[in-house]
Amino acid sequence: MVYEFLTLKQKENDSLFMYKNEKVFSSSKKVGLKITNINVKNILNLRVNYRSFSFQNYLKKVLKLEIPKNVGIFKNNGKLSLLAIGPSELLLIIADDKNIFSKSNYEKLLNNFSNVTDVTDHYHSLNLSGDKLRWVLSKGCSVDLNKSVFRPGSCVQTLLGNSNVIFTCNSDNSITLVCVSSYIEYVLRWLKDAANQEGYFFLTN
Amino acid sequence: MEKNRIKNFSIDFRKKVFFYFDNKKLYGFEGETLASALIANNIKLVGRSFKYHRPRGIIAIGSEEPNALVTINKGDKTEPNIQATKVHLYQGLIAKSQNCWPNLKYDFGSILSFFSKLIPAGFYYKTFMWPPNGWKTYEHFIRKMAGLGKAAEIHKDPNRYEHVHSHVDVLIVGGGISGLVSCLTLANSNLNIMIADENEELGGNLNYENDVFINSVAAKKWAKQTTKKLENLENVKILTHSNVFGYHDHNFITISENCEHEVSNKITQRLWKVRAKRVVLAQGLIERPIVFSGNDLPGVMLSSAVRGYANKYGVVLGKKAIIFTNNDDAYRTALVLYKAGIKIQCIVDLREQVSSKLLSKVQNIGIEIFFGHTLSKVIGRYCVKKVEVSKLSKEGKINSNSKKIINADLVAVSGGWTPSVNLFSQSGGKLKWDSQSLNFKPSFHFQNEVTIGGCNGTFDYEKTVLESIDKTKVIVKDLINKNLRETNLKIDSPKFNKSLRSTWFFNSSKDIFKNDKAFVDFQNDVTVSDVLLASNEGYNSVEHLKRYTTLGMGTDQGKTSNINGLEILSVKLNKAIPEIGTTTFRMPYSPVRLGLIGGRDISDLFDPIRLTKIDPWHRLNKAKYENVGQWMRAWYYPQDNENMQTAVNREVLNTRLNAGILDASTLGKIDIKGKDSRKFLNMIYTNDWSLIKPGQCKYGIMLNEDGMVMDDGVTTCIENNHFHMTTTTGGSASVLSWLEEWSQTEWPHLDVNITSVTENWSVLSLSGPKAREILSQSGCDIDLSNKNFPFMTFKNGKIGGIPVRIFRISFTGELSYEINTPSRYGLYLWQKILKSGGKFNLMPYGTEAMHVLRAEKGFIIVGQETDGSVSPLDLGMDWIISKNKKDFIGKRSLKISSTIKNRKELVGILTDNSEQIIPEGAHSIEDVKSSPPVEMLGHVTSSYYSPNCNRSIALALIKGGRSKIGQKVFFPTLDGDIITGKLVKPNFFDPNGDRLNGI
Repeated sequence: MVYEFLTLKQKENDSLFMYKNEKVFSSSKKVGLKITNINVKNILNLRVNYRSFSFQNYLKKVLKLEIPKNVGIFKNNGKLSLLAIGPSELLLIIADDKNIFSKSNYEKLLNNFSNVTDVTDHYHSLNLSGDKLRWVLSKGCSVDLNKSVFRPGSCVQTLLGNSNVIFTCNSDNSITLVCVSSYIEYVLRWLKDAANQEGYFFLTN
Repeated sequence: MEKNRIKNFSIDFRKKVFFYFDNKKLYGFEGETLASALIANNIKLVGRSFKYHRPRGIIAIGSEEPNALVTINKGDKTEPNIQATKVHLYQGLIAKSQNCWPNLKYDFGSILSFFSKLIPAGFYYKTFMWPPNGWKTYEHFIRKMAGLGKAAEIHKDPNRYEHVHSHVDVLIVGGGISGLVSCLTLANSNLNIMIADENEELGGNLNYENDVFINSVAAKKWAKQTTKKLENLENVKILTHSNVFGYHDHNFITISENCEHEVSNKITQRLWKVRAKRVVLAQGLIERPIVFSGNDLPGVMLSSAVRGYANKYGVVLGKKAIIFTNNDDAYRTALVLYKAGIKIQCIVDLREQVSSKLLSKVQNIGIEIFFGHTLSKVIGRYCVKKVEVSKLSKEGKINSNSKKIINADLVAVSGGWTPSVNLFSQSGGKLKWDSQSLNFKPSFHFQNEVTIGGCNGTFDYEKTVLESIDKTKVIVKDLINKNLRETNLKIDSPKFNKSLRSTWFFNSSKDIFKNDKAFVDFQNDVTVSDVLLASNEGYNSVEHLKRYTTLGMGTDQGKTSNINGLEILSVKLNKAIPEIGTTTFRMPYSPVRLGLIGGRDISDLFDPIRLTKIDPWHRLNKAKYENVGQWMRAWYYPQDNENMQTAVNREVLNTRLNAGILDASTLGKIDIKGKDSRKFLNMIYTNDWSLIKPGQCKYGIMLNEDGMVMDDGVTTCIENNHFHMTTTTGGSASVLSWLEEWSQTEWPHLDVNITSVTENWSVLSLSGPKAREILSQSGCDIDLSNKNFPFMTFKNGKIGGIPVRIFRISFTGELSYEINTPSRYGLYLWQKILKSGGKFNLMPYGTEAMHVLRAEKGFIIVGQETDGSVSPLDLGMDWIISKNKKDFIGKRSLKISSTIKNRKELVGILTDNSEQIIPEGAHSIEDVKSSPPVEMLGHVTSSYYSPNCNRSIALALIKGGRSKIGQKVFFPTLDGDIITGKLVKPNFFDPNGDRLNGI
């Protein structure tokens, strides 16, 4: 049998790459939502026993980040984000930067602690920004996304349309969306549809 | 100038537009409603009633309108049953009347009016009972006649809808005087406020009551100024054109916003899902009609509507008016009509002599008032021509000698006012009857809401304002413990005499309804006779009355009819209204489109479609797909015009002859870590996990508490306290929740962490006798020999530098490797292995071939061989239940179920005709009898053609199946045939499992 095989370019024409640089303006010629694909180096799921200090101290030392102790907040130093997504569950997102978080530190963290799981390929991340960002998200998310409530430093596990997502609020007009990777196409379709009236711009990097 | 437009009325209209009503070109103004424009053009007849096809006209000005329902056509959009009072005029609007044929005036259906005595309330319950089998025929015609407008004959709704979630501190429902005052009071509190109103602008009836002044400013102007002030505040969100239709638990409110007026809007309607800390219900009042003979004729209108149309739009539906009332408010209408130059023939007041400033004003301009009189009949065919006025005795009896016939073409009726308590009742609040105002008023509040103004039964403008301010202040105090500064509003409004006279006087007037129809519910054609008949037949409960007569149903939800209906029933039963009670108010308050409820969840956003990372290859190679939960999985890969059976046969044969590769990435994968992981697995699975070593795999079955199979899969010990569990594709989310639930609620003391890694890994299942060679050729750095890498073990390694976890497990019965790789490499590795396997005739196979391959081996699929009522014992899997373990989930129930004899057991079936495939789900019987009852033995769970066995094979759950091996069974089919076969062991190929290690 003869089968066809995909080249890298063909692959790029598929899935979320099909929306690359797609731009739709609102009636007032504005772009209310900017969607940017985020490449991350690693994502780790961490389970923390807040009564045990050894792991917390290790994390503080390696990550140089405060450990968020309440669900719904995250700490960020620009390259590492530590999200408290459950009562004892953290998600560590390591930016795609060669200069951070050495391989040895990563492997030590992954292999020496029974409460760390590599979920890098399980998730996909997008950065969402723009004047109409919160308005667009409120069309599919029941969480209170008012600026006074979902403030910078907040994170939440919720639904966007029919997809589970995690939001982290970076600033008033910038939110990172993390979803399970097979939902990304649905999420993008949903965002494009919801932002159709406000205008959107999808960038890949 | 249209015929009924009042001259010299200063109306704030934008521009003149044309529109069509029943294909007739008419003119109106942008900014007015269709109802107003129809009145302006002297269109009195706008529709036909539901049951009797009686001529009907506009009676109201708002969402309470029961009659004027039209179909609106706009481009490719057709929308039936729209209230003309809610449609805003635009250039080229096309409106059509409903429920009439061939046209509105000469409607064939109006013949039913002549047979009205034969078709009273509930007639179809009695009439169509015989012959019993005739119902199917009757139903066809009844359904054809039912309904008013016709839905568009297109399959796709061209409108677009969306949902928006909103969280506010205070939601104010209604933008009339009370809502506006409340919002104004809250405005400076910094609270997050939303105010919603069904009209195009805030202000409610302030927009058309010219005799009300606030702070010495005309009410309409004050409303506009206040709205402008509120619009400029960041903390206030104003929703107009918005129907607040549902009040749910926890102050969750649903609002449908009509967005069609927004020129740049691509959305037709928006569903707001509002969660409010406090709700202020300020929906106001609805005027009640009075029940009398012919009260449904076009030209009979609510008094406030007549006044509203005149003041707001400068239109009056007649030149000679009569006002019929039981209260003072209608006198305001008299003054407005007088000013508009309409001749007022007289005012008929049910009350005995009363006095008030308002009355004096009317009397001073010379309008004749008949106190203690009633309007006993309206005369006319298509519209009001004359009215009959009669004197009433103190007891309410009509003096038939006192009848006067008066010419009139407009009757403005006011039977008092009903607080709009629908949402209050939906919130769980309880109502109390107020005998003074003859109304149900809010009494017990169930949720965090307050009722103010008319909605609370407060009729006076000044009191409304005070009440709104006071109650709003309490809200602010409650929410932010802040005292607001005083809001000073000086109200100048007409002063009423509050006396009322009940509009219903059944004992004296029953005769006058003998031949004429007096309507209680206009939309459902419910007459006084219908209510009395229902009561006579024993439907004395108000809920029964509603269902028997349809009183209060329909798109208007009885906004104008409920209280009148209750009054009639109370008089008939000689009971007070509070004893009768009210029907339950349910959402929606006003009609809501189904499309709005669906919102954005339609077409390709109906449900997420999940695709694996290897999917681009499947698409490129034209795979056919099947839905497995939300996943789209490659079903089979047809080549050169192959049909499904041919393609599947080829894939199945090739896998056993050479090798096949399956994209199994959708399998659920759960990472289990922690020093108590073994203990945890021992409780979850039925078999013993105590001795499993790193590198070993084990098949497990998990049970529900009821001892029935819930899911299955292979779990592998990666390291000492680290396990990789696989689940079925469809069960991955539920198993994860199941594990979390037990871990968090029952065994929180166990050190175990559960993390879903389903999508972290792409899974390539390489299967077949040449699998080892292919894997080796692909660049795998693992020693793949049986000795180094035996069945049911796992190895970490690399293929061409790509990290992989390879599990030597098999779902086909062949030598198989399940290759897991971080999903970013999935597609690359799939292509690499396929290329390497080319010379070994490696072919991809889809889920259908996978089903056949596993069925040949008798391997079960949870959800196919099981249905929640099948235990592992039923499946013949006694070997998987540990005898050593103290406990596992479902153990006790399993023990109980094992004592039940003659349970269905998994067996194989071979049909007598080897080409015949039994339909899945077919029931089996032991004997073929000519008549029922026939004992059912069980059903077929899986059935395929097996190219390896060269015949059809099937798996089935049969009562006592294992003890019946060799017996003949029968499978009746839907087309009347009977397939015969015999029961065999559920393993059709390589029963000794020799092929697992390769040939």
